[in-house]
Amino acid sequence: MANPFEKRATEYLRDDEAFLAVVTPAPLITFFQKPAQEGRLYDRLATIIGTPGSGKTTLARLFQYPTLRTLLRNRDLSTARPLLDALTQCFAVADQEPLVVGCRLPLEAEYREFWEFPYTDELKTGLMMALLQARAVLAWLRNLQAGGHRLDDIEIVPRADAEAATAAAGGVSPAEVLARAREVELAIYRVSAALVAPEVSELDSLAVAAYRPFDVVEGFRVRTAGEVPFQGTLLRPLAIFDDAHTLHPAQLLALQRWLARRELKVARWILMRLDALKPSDVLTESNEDVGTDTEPGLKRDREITEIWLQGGDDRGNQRRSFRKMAKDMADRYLAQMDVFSRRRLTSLSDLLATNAEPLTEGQLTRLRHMIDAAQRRHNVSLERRTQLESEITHYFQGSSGEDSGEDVRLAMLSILIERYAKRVPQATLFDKAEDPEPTRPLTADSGVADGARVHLMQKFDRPYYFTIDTVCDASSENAEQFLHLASPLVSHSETQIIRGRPPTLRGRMQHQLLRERATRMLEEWDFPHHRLVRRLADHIGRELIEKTLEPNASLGSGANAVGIPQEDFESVPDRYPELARVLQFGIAYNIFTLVPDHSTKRRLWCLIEVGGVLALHYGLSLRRGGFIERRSEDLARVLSEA
Amino acid sequence: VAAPLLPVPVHRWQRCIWHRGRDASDFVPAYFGQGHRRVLLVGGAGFDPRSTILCALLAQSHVGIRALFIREERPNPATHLLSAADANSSQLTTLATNHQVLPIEIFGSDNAVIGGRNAVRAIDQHQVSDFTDVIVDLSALSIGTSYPIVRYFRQRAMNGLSPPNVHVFVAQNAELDERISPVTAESVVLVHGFRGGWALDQSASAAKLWLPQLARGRRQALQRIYEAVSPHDTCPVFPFPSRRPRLGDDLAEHFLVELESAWEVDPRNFIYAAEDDPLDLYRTLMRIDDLRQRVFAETGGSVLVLSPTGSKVLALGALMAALERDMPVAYLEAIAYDFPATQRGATPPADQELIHVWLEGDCYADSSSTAPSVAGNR
Repeated sequence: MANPFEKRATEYLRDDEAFLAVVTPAPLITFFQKPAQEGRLYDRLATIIGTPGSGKTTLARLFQYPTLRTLLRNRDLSTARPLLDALTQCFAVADQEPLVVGCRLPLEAEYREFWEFPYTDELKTGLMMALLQARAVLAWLRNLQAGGHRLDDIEIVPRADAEAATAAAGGVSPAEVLARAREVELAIYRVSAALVAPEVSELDSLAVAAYRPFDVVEGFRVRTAGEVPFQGTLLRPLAIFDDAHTLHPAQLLALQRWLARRELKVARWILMRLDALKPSDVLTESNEDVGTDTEPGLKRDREITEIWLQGGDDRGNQRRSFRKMAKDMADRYLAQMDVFSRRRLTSLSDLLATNAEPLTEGQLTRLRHMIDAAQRRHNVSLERRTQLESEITHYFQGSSGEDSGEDVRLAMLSILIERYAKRVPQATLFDKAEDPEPTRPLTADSGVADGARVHLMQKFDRPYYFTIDTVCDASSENAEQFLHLASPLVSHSETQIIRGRPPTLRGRMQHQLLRERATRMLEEWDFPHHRLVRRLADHIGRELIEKTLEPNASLGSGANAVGIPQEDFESVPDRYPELARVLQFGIAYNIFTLVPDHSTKRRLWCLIEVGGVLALHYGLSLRRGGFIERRSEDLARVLSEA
Repeated sequence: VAAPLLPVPVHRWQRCIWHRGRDASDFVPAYFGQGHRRVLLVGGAGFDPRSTILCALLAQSHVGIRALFIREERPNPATHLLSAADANSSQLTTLATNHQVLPIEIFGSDNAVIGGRNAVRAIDQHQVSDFTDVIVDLSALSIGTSYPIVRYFRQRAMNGLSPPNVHVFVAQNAELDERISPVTAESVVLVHGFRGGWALDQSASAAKLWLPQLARGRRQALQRIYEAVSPHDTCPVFPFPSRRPRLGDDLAEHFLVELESAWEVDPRNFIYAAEDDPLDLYRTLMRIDDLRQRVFAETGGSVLVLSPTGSKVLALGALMAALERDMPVAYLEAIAYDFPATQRGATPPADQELIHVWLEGDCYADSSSTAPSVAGNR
């Protein structure tokens, strides 16, 4: 049986119906609703930035005209309604009619090749822009036709002040505009596909002639067959330039500047990965290229709407939103699998056991011996131990549903004993006070409890990574990574069903499958600079484990980030360009997450947090906040030793 | 070598002049050793142990050649590979005294793949019209470089420009191909000169069939190509018959998840191509294309997208089909290679069998209608 979780990217589902059945509306609300309602989504350039697999292309496909039409056609289906509501809130549909004619243009390597031509920058850029515009026109008209309108039933509404450009674009007759766009596309294709680029003097006049349909088109109107004249809403053309990171940086900048012009009526989005930005942009979030003084009147904040699919200020909220979105997506995927749907198993959450699996009796005995030894070693009185045990009991009385087995209590006790030992004054050999009071009170809290579970995982292989929330948190807010991690769980559950066993996966099995998959994902990295990223990740991982396994668990759950003083970190692109490049790719591929301006100890830090896959591989907590303090040169040294 | 001409049926290389092993080794002195031949050799000067085989054979056969050795430059190469490439380069320049080494940057400063375009540009700057024959040795060249070069020379020959005879050689060693493991770049690209009208509006509604050549260690790369191509259907190519009879089974197991879940391949769509016979794959591809062109003619046409990621011999078969039918070739360029030092000497160069395909030239006197039959014509 095919496992749709392995297919991962929803956009590769060819049929719109199948695609719409598995798309969740949550990202639309999270990322697009606000700019749409503020009027910033369609009237200016919007740049959408995210890691690979974060759902950029899926979002783009939702705005394509045939997809909107299919959704409206199936609006009575229960799966369609939430999507339709979300798209309505994003002003993509209204009154059960589309408001935009979206087309997605993947900026494949073909466009990047223009930069290799032996022509002037101006000519190279001009050829690329003309090809993009021709393809956008072709895609709009193709999408309108795919949406059920004949060419004769489409009206192109031009801007009133652009007669010359209108004539150059083929007029306003759809058939003529289509023919002209095809001619221009073919002429430029012949240049770019040639083995040896032709001389400038040999270029086809069609390829270099003025062709600016973006300056012309204001919108489209469509009519049902035979209806005269054209009525109804003006459909706003939307051009979505996907994978803009494949362009040469100079091309991308030129494209951004060109699309940021105010006079364009066409809605335009650029979708790209973080690696399209310069290291300094990614690391310090300061992109000054577009809207600098060289382009008077072009202000980045005012002219460009930026939508980041990861990062942002409210990380807790983002994690909660992602959990909701991921669970919804998983359930939609699960519904595609007959083995589950026949048995009415509709929720992945229900297949993942939530109860912890305690240590075996033998392991417990070993743990007890270890604690007794620590008690003796640190000269902890029986009364003090009893007091610490009461503290632990008190903590669990106040928490509900938390894993509170004897093994966790013992591991917490071990941590508290070690903390006690660190908080009492060091006694001399002849001056031993009986049961001294610690300098600060010892409390059992959720950090200590989670730290205890991490210690148990590391020392006794007690399952730690289980439940659907863990899978979501390990996904680093990346949909594709979530599906990748969930896939072996689904496959295993399916196997259990086929073998006549209960479908629910025990905690130990979930833990094992997730860690195995994470390790495999690490081994399969093959993005640029992945070896150096791996080297850095291994170094960071080792240091974090060391910190996490401190007997007193000084950071509670442990560390899962490296903290660099903010001012030190900001100098990384200049001082250590290689480190900056490696971090950029690490961030772009979800290996690390950057948390700038994190305030701790009356100082600002930039945290380099390990992603979920690394955390699973090394056995680190998925709780955020714990970090080890380092300087940028420490990390640069790791790379220089490579 | 001269022989009576036979009519060519449908395909350009339905009857092809090609040689393998001993026949290929005998052909080199017999043909290139003829006094009136002026031979240009284009080959790779990299770490691949096969770099020197053909050049050594030409030298042994006392064939006077002009050689252009392509040095594919990738960022931050491993030291041991660099030394192996230096050693091969030095041996090549000793074997062919009339030579030039062409360093070709495979990646731009932004990691964009520019190797194919650079290679053709570099060769175009040389006086190649002085020769009667050009030999392109694919053995140590990546497909991103070798495919455009072959197309460049074939195009010249077809346009009546010198050199009129285009030969392709490859030292066959499927095990070695498997051991040289590429670390692929990020973006899927179409080989320069092998776009096949991809992304043109006229082919927007064509039914896309993707034919990936399966090879171990290429799962991620092929998955990415799949995602970029987004085909309507997939027909994976398995090397069979092969020297290791279970290789096909191993590959099916290796790609189980992709075949079953991601690409959703019907086992009836598996293509088997002889590991050591480029013509077998070529003819299969041509047959598939013929069938599909007829079936899809009324509904936007058919496009076959090739991804020759495995052995060089099969890549040669794919090249011939792509040349004849202008098929797009999608691939991921290698940003680096894994080829552990201990493995480099594992297969002595002498064990590697040469394969020669005569792509264009005198033997196909009238390329539109006839092709000859000669000794060694299989």
